[in-house]
Amino acid sequence: MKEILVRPERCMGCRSCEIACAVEHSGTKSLFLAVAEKPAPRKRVYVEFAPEHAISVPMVCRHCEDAPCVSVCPTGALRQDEVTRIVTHNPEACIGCWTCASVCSYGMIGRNREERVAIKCDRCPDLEVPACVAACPTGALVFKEVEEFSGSKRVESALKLARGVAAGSGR
Amino acid sequence: MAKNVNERSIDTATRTMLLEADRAGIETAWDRFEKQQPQCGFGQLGVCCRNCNMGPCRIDPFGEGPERGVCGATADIIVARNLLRMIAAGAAAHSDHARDAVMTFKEMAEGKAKSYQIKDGAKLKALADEYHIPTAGRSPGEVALELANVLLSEFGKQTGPIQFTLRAPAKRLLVWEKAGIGPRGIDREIVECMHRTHIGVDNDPVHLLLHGLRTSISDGWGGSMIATDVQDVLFGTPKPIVSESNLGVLKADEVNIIVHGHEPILSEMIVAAAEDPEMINLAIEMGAKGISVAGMCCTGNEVLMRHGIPTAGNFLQQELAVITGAVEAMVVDVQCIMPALGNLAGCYHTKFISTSPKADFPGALRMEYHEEKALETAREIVRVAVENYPNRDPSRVNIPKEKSACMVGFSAEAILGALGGTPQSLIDAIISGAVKGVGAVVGCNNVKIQHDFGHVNLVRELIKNDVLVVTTGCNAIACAKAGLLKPEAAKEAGPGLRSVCEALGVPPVLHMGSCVDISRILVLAAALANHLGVDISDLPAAGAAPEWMSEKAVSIGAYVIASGVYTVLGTVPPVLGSPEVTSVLTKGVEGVVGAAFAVEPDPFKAAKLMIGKIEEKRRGLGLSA
Amino acid sequence: MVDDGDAARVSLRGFDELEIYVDLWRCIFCHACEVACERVHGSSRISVEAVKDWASVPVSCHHCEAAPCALVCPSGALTQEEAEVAFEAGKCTRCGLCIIACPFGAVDLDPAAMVQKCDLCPEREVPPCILTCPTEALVFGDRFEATEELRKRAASRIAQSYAASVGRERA
Repeated sequence: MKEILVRPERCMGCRSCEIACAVEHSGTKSLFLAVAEKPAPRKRVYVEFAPEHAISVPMVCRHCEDAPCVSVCPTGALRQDEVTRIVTHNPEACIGCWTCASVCSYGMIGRNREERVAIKCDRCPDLEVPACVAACPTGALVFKEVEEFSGSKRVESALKLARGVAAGSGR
Repeated sequence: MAKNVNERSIDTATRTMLLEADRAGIETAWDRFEKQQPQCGFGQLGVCCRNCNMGPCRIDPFGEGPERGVCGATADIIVARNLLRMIAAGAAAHSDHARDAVMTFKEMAEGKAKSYQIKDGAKLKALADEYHIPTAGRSPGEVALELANVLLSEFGKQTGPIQFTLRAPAKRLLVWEKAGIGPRGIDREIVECMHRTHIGVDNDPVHLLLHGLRTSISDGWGGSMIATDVQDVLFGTPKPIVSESNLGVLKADEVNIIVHGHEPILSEMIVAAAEDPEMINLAIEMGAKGISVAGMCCTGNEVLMRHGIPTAGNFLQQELAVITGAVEAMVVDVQCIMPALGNLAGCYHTKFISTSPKADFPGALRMEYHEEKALETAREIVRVAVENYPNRDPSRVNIPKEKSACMVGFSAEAILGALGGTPQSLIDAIISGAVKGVGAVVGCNNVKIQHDFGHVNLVRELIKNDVLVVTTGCNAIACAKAGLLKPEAAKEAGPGLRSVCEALGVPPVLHMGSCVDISRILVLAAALANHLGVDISDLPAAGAAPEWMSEKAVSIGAYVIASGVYTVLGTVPPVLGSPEVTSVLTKGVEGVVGAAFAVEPDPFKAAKLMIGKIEEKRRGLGLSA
Repeated sequence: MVDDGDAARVSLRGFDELEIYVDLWRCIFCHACEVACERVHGSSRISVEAVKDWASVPVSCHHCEAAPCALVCPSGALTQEEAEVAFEAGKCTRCGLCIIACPFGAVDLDPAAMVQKCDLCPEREVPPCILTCPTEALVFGDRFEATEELRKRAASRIAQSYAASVGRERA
């Protein structure tokens, strides 16, 4: 399964992911029409700036393998697909008790003000690549298998290590 | 790569060259556009502000995030400020072009720029009369010098009025006076745009937009109009002439020189230098059969209108011309010249020659042009091109066969001339309903719209519905390539328009020139309105820019609506992030100047909107819709 | 005694999204909240439950936004008011449907057989359960500010780890 993985070092804080997310979850799915929609479409990805480290971090639902939000949901509005492990939310069943919001340690449960129910990342079921990932201009958000992602990070850090060794022996 | 070229353009020559680019592994604007995807949503909505270094700030268009920038500016303020800066840039481009034309005119009058002379004495006299400059018993040079000086003073004028704005119908002048948008000077309005949009100056969206209209009027009825008229005096007022268009005009066995950009000042000289027997002999020595000059974009339109120099294509074809492998020199001046040409020319034998003192490009051969020795420089440029001919690699030459005949050169004077001196016969045709109205279709190319699709289809729909089309800029070239500028294109028109065109022997789509020549459309509209004793906003007319992209187009759109003509834009301007600005531009402004904008990317629907507006105006005049 | 913290809390009453939040990591199973609630209402409307040896969890009304108790109430005694669930004793018929409906067991019958549930102590600036909690496991605030706070904390954690590795390189 592919996951939305984050490389915060590449995030420029442009919030393109947020806009793309809101547009993908709008009625018209067009930026120019979505801006005029009432109620305004809501995003499910949040770029948070950590001032103490001067780093922006795109925060996306992790679709945890053992998702706390799903465990605590009293009505079954939050469910986890047994195969894909994607956590989806059924607004029809949601009673707005916000227990999910209390237990999500990433703060990924948002609130639909009009319907008074939770909203969260659904990983764009209509798209091959989630809208936020497709919108990221720098590759801070990637949609990959974890193994592949870690593999490429391993190669990257191996390269750095090798450079260091080469530089050291050169000296 | 291997993109579906058919989705990129409707023009078969363009498609051929895109396939060639693909085969050669060469990147074009379309590829770069794809690499730019997705484009920034904040930018597209106009809600990003970089006007001070507390920013950049942006407003969340969906209301969850920040609603104000650091200074407190709302989306409405930011969008209005950004739009004003676009208008300022567009007006500056046209007006600075005009300044160069007047400077050349002045140096000609002073005898310094010996390469130039007065080609249209009648127009000189008409302009002198307009400025109350005595002509009786004075030499044309004397008159020209005085005229040049008063024209130059229009730029630095502080309290207005700009003389040519008085060409607008009296009712229009009253509208401007009432709204407080009569321009006071060309440079002043542009400078004031920059001042007002500086942090902490003008922060009322409507107030900002009104100044945008004022600035745009100083372009349309100021800078652009001065450029057109001075160029007419210097190079002749266009008269109907027949030529050809599209990449097929390039010659396989001749030295090909493309003049690209916007000013005719040097390109006129290049046309002359290319006809010099010495140069032609040199070309023959180099193994070519001769020298062929072709135009591109609006420099192309200028020499097309006045000399029938064939045009190789519009904005999005500039790279493709080089990719034919048959261009010895791409000679550019200012505006709409892609910096990509430098790298691209490096892949071929083409010399990319930049000539304007104010426009340099990476990878360009610099051959700066100055008025005093214009012809000399032009000869040097032609020589470089000719001497480059032996470097052409015949195996890489791929000139598409497409070229299309066109009848061009319809200046306002030429149109009135064809109508017998007064607009009466056109007005009669409009009253009878044979001609339903006039559609002004102008503007650039934009990779966001299939190349030429918006232009050609909108124009076809209009003439099919008996709307006479006047065109300039890249739209005119698109129409030329599509065969719509041939008198035989009258067959594509509705029965009423067809009979009128066939009686006059003109095409149903009249090429009025380059993008500064939209001023000619304003003059024609004023002539029609004055003849009828109405305002321009009462005329059964509508405008459109189906594939616009430049800041100049923003200024043009603004002065066209400020002149009272409803305008449909084919690409969305970066304003939708502000509900207020959007509403003012599409509705509110109509109450001020009698016209507003609409946005419609689909050319067929855009035609319906324009025809609907024309019918509404017909009813207003008591004519049958 | 009013300290600055209390002064800041006074203004909270202007919001309609107030909620009692629980930070499970901090609850020490002391039952102080129960005692405080009992002192005010006569019987406690919050109860701290120990779950095996995993955690102790204070349970009280979630003030669900589509509250099942209000939905089932036949007499209109329990009503949904914006983000709170209000109870009007005079209308209560003691039918007990609300007790069955509540997924949290947060509605109860008091000794006088009257339905009782947390009312967020509307007459007080801060509910006494919050004031008495010695570890600040109970938090009173805007539920979405709380979610945002969780998100920011998570972002900060992620940023910190990057600041330690790539972040330094970037600077």
